[in-house]
Amino acid sequence: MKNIKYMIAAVVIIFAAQLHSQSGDVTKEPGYVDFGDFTSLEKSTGVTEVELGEDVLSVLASISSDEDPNIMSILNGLKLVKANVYEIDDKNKELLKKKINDVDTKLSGTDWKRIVRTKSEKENANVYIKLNNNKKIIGLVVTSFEDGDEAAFVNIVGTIDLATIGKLGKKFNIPSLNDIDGKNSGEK
Amino acid sequence: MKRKNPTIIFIAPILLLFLTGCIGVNRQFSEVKEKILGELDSDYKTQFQFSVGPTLIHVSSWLVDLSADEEYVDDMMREISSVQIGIYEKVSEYKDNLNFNTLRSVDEHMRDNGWKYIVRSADHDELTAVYLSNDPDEVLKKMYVISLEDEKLVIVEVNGNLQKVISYALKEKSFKINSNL
Repeated sequence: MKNIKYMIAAVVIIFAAQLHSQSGDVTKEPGYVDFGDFTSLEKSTGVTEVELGEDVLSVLASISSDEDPNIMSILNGLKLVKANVYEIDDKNKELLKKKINDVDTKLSGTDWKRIVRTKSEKENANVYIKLNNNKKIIGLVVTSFEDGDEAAFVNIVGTIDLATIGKLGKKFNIPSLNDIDGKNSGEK
Repeated sequence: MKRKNPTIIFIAPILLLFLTGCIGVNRQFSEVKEKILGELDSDYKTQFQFSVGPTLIHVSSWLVDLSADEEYVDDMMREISSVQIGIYEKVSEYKDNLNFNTLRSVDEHMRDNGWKYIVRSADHDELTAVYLSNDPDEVLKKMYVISLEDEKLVIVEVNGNLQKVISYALKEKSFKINSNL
C-alpha cells in the first residue's frame, strides 16, 4: 500500500512537471510561428536576431505605470518577440523571397488572417494576425522584403493591442505597422 | 622596533575603501574574452581591463551629481552595483572573416554559463551581442554587451538594478505613447 502511494505521488509529480514545462514552452503557444531553418542565411553580410522572452518582457512591461504609459506598456501580456533581419544581396535574394513565400503558404488557409499585404516589383510586406475565441489577437507575424535593403521575419506571441502597435508604427515610422491599427487595414 | 608612518596608516584604509573591486576582472569575464579572441584569427592586445565596485560607482555618482546638469545620469549610476570593462585592440594586419557563425560559437559558451542573448548581430565587419542572465530571478540584474568593430573588441558586464536604469532613461527621454496620434 505504501508503495502505491509513492507511485501515485511520483506520477503526479512527473505529470505536474510536464505540465509546467509545457506551459513555459512558447513554441506551444498558438501565436507562435516556426519560420524554419535560417542556417543557410547566416553567411549573409548583415544578420540581426532579436529574441525577448516572457521573463524579460514582463520585467520591461512593469517599468511603465498607469500614470506614465510609456513605450514599455505595449509589452504587457506578450510572451515572445522574435525578429530575424537579413541584409539582402545577390547571393541570398532568391532564398529570402522563397522563405517569405513559404511563410505565406504556411499561414494561408489556416486560422491566421492576413491583414496587410503590399506587393510591388521591389517590395513585399505581409502582416498576419491570429485571434482567439474572444477575438483577441494572440499572435502577429510580419514578413517584409525590400530589394537592396533588408528582409525581416517578425513573430510576436501573446495578447497584442494592435492600436498601440499602430501608434508605435506611426510614431517611429515603422513600415508595415503604420496601418496596422485598423484605420487603414485590409489587403492592399 | 620601527614605528609605522601614521600618514600611511590613515591613507591605506581610505584607498582600500575607494578602490574596492577596482583591480582585475573576474574569471568568467576572462573566459568570455578568451572565447571571443579564440574565434578570431588576429591578435589583440589589452587596452583597458578593469572592474569597478559599488564604492567607486557611488563616489562617481556624487561627482556626476555635482558636475552634470542631467540628474538622471546620477540616478542611473546609483542603481549600478558593479561594472567590468575590457577594451582590446587589434594588433595584427590579418583581416578576420567575421560572420554570424563567429557569434554562434560565442553564444554557445555564454549559454553554458547561464546567459541568453536578446540581440545578436553580425553586420559586415561588426559583431554585437547583448546577453541577460538566464535565471528568471536575475533578469535585468546582469547584462553582458559584446561589441567588435573598428578593430576594437569591447566587453562590458553590468550588474545592478537595470530595470530602474531603463526606467530612468525612458522617463528622461519621454518615450510616451501620445494618445492623440
